[in-house]
Amino acid sequence: MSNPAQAVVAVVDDDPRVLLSLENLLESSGYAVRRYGSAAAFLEDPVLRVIDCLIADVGMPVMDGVELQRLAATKYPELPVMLITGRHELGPAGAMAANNRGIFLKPFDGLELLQAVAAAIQDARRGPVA
Amino acid sequence: MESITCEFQQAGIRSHPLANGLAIGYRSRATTAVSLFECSNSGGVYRSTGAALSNIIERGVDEPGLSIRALPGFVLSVSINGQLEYLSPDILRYTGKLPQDIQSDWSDCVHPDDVERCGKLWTQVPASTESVEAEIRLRRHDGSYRWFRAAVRAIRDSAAGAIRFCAVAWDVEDRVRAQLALEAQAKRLRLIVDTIPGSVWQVGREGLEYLNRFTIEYTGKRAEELIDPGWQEVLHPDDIEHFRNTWLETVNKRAPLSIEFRLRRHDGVFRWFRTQGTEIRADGGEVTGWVGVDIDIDDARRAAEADALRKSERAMRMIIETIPALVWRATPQGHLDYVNPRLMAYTGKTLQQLERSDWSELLHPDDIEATCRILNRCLESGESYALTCRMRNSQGSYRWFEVRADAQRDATGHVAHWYGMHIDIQESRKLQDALRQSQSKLERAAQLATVGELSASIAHEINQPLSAIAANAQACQGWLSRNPANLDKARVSIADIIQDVNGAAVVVKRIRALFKESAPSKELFNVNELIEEVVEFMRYELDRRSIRVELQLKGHSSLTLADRVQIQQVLVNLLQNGADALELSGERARMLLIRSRAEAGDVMVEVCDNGIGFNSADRLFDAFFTTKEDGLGMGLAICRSIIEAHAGRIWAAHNAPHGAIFAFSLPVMSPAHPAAR
Repeated sequence: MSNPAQAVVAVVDDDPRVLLSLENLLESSGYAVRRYGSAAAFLEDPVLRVIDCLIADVGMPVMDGVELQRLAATKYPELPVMLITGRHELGPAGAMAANNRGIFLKPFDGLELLQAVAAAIQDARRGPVA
Repeated sequence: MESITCEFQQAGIRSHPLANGLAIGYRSRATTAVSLFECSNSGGVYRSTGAALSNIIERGVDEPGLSIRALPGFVLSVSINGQLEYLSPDILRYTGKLPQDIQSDWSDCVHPDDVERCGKLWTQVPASTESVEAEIRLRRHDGSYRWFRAAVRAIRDSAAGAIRFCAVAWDVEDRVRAQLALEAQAKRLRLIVDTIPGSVWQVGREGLEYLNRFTIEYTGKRAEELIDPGWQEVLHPDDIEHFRNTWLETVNKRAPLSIEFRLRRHDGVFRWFRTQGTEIRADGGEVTGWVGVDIDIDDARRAAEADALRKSERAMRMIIETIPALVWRATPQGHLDYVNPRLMAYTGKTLQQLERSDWSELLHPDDIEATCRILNRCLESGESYALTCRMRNSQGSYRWFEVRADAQRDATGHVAHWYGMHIDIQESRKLQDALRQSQSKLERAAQLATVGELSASIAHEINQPLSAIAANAQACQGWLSRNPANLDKARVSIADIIQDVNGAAVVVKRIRALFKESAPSKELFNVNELIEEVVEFMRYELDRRSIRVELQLKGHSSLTLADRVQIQQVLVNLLQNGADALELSGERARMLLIRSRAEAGDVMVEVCDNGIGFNSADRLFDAFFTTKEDGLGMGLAICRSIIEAHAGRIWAAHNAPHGAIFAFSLPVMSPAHPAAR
């Protein structure tokens, strides 16, 4: 189903509604999507090498999105990560939201997310070449 | 003749009255060797009755054991026709006269004042069977007079009646002098007692026995008018009881009498007297009466009272001057006319300076308006006032004072003076403010935290489906804009959207359910009690903001079944809102009026302010609607949800001419209602 030209975006969220809607959104833009219900499920998946972009929810049980972003950055430093959150005021994400354009506050504009994902993948692909 | 002999024989015996009299009047100089005979020789007195006299003399001398001549005192005998028949030698020796001189003018030997009495004596004798006696002064040969007692008796013979008169006289000078001295002394004493500027009295077992002249003159009553219970009329009514008790104590316990009382003068004026009295005892120790003196102590007492008054004035002044507060007095118009030294020391101004200057200059600029408003209102209405304000001291810095003043009114009810006191509350005020601030910060933080927490939770619950809806909507647009459009995917996306919308609706329902689950704990109470509690609870805050609260509470018998704490929250919120609205009202006197009444099965509560009011009531009770810079816009929304949860209504109306009325009604519950049990 996936072809080499098609970018792969991984989405991690404990809310299936968000998970499915984001998959739908990304697929409608031509991305291949891999869904994970938790940070652990994502980290355990051996196909991580082929992931072009990670979208993670901040507020998740056991391991939250911020922690996942940190771990992912050590394993795959080149992997672009987008954080999404429904809790605007609380947690480190609130502080980060002020200076990090990679954070999207729910409910966010789907088009903006798509543009950000496209830009991030393009940057990452150009990066090693440059 | 027989008779006289017998008489004198008996006179030799001292038991006879005459002999006693002689003995009393006897003086030793009578032991004289001068004989009657010698007298007659030397004087040749008895010209006409010489024979008779010599006969008598001889008989007197011859009688064995009796010598008339030797008798002490004067003895003489006069015939019925006035001729001297006998003179004892002492008479001649005493008077220095010859018998014929005496015969011719006896009155020359008698004190001129006594001549008449002496003459009467002689005229009384013939008719009297007894001896007639008198005390007279006889002139001695040196011209001096001595008192003698004379006794004259008619000698009668059985047939012819009186035949001669016999007289004896003996010296009673010492006794008379003593008596005169006694009389003089008594007179002097009477004079003293009567002149004493006090009432002297004597009371016997039977009652009043003596009163001196002072008492009579002072009271204007006769002594008999003052006999018990007459004395009660001249005593001050308030003193009668005490006087009677003290008197009984004196009589029964034999205590010395000492009492002060008011005695009415003849002109009706009462003056204070002090009585000192004591009992009088007979030789046997038995109490026979009481004697005492009442001294007018009115002036001394008044002086003492005046002195006590001066002392108490000094003490009061001391208190006012040293009390750790600024004390003042002002005219009804509010002009100072007394300030205590502490006030002068604090302000660094004298009374004259304070009188001249406008005292409001001493107030902190921020306090002038509110303070003057309250003061002017109180000056107009005369009601006492209490306020807190900052006052500048002589160094120019400000301290907080609590000011309390009361009007003193005259008999007609008009304000005569204002009395006031400033108490320095700087330290307690600082503490209180700090406490209040930290408290309100805490409350606010807690409120914010709760609201924040709640809204974050709600936001998250809503944001999740909303995110999904947004993403699916965007995806749907993506599927449709493909060439060719992927309608299947678009349909699926829309189906997802519908599903998420339904999901969101479920969330909203769940939140509502969540609020419903925290069912209020209801109890029966009268809302007026709660209003009073809340006003009391907020008193400090309202006072601080110079807001006057007026309560017009009715329907005290109506009970409401409600969550007391929640209704309390509503009231606090409405009062807080009113107070905030007043804060911006500017010049107007800040006032909150809270009314309650029972009406058609409801109890209705209105909180009226004369603040800035509102433009439109449409959104007032909506959440997050606020006109305040720091407001959350939750207060009235919460009020509404609480009141509506209690099956009540809440609404707002414009107040005339200024401000707003926020009102709510709650159903009245009869105590018989099952829920009330």
